Amino acid sequence: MKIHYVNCPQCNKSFHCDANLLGLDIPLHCPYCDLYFDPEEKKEEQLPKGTAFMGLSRIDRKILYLPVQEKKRRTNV
Amino acid sequence: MPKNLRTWLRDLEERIPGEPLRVSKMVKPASFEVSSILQQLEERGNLSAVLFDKPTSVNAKPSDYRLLSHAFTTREKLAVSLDLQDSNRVSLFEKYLETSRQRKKTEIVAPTEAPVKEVIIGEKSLDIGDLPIMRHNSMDGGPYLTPVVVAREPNGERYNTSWNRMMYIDSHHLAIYMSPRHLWTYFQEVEARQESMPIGVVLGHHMAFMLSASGLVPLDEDEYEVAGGLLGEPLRVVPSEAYGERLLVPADAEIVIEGEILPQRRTLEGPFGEFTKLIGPQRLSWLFRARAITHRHRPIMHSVFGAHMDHLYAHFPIEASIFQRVKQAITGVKDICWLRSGGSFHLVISMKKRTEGEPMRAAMAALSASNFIKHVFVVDDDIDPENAKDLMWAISNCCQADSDITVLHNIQGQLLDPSLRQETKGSGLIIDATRPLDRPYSPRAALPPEALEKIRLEDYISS
Repeated sequence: MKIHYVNCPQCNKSFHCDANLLGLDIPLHCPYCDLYFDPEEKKEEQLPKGTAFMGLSRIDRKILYLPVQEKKRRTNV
Repeated sequence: MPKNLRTWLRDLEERIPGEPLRVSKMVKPASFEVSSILQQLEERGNLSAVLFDKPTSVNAKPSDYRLLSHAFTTREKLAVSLDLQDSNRVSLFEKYLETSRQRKKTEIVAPTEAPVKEVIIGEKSLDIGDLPIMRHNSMDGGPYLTPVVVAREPNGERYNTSWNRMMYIDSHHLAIYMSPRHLWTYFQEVEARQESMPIGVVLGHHMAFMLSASGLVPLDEDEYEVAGGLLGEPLRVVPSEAYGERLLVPADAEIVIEGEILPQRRTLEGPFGEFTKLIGPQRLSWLFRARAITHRHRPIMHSVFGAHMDHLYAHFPIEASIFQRVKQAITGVKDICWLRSGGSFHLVISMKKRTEGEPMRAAMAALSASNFIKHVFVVDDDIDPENAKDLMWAISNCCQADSDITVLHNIQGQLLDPSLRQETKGSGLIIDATRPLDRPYSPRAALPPEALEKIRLEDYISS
């Protein structure tokens, strides 16, 4: 699996994710400060065509579950 | 009394003096306090099981739960789990294989006879954050459960048991990671029908039950019956609160979270420190929604310490199953070593070679048995497969690279292997470091035994 390191915009700490996530229109989750954020770096060349392993031919934002508190935060913003 | 986690702890106390260690002080598992204690013990060579009496919950409140970890860290504890006096590796393999073949039909009991129903928390009142869930390693995406997940096959009666890491998300949700094996296969079928799949998340039982979840059992066999074989008595099961007889859960478990994996939903999961001792990346995983939690009074939650010895040894049944497959292919196989080989995906096979080609056949059997195996080293039976120096000696002295090393292309790899360049496809390696049979070979240097016996060192060298 190709991975990519990202920096959290809130705590500035670095963590790694499946590089395919960067091609999706979804936020990432900082394991250090619990922030959900939209990554700035989008790797256009890595837009996924879906993955056989995940069993989905297309992956989009609608399938992604966010925790209750995060949904509340986004509604209040 | 039916076997359960408490009878296992009693046996452990009787068999291994000083175990389990007990921590009566309050600890915060979600703030790395439990993992810090476990790591420091491991660094001091103390691999005892540890029972924490007062762990706080994820919600940072004192809880009624207790927490047990380091239950798999030594062969001696595996021997207690399998009710075996000897803790030699091959003896453990043979005991596991023998008992796992003695399938026992499950016994369905009434809820009044099921300890796991002593406390029942329904969907509205439950909060997974009330559990004392550990954060294991730096960068973990959240507190992680390391349960045995039980699921009934779609349109069938058989049950699958498997270890699946599950990340805490909120009061009713966990992320669940599934490797492409049986549980994943079940869910593929269910999701294709746009349906959810009920599962039970078992957080503590007798360790023979927990071990049943990592064996390489064929898809068409009932793993509840395998668990019965390992326990030496039928596994007692009880209808679940949320799904009734559609999902039978272990009656003697400490805690079961009942719920379902949802179709067409995914969630962010990870990073997580895996058995490879590497932190796997954040990824999309599947979404679990809880419908009920049932547990014993003063329940003991079991947690495997991720990315450490405990995690590795929880894979023991896989090693035993690989031993069986290799032995079935080549009867001259004496021993194998995966978990202590020093490499997450290395296997060493020690065998008495009778004809050329046997090492290759043994290695192929291992590679076909499990995608946990990527590199196979085959050595003669005078080599201890657990001794890395012995292995290096054999490769150095018995191997020619142009004829004894085989690279295999396009085989299924392990998703947790970070060196994979494609999603699931990789390569394999076989090194035959056995001595050739078709020509005389130099013997190992050694003294005449009678000369060695005759000399008493103390008579010549004063200490």
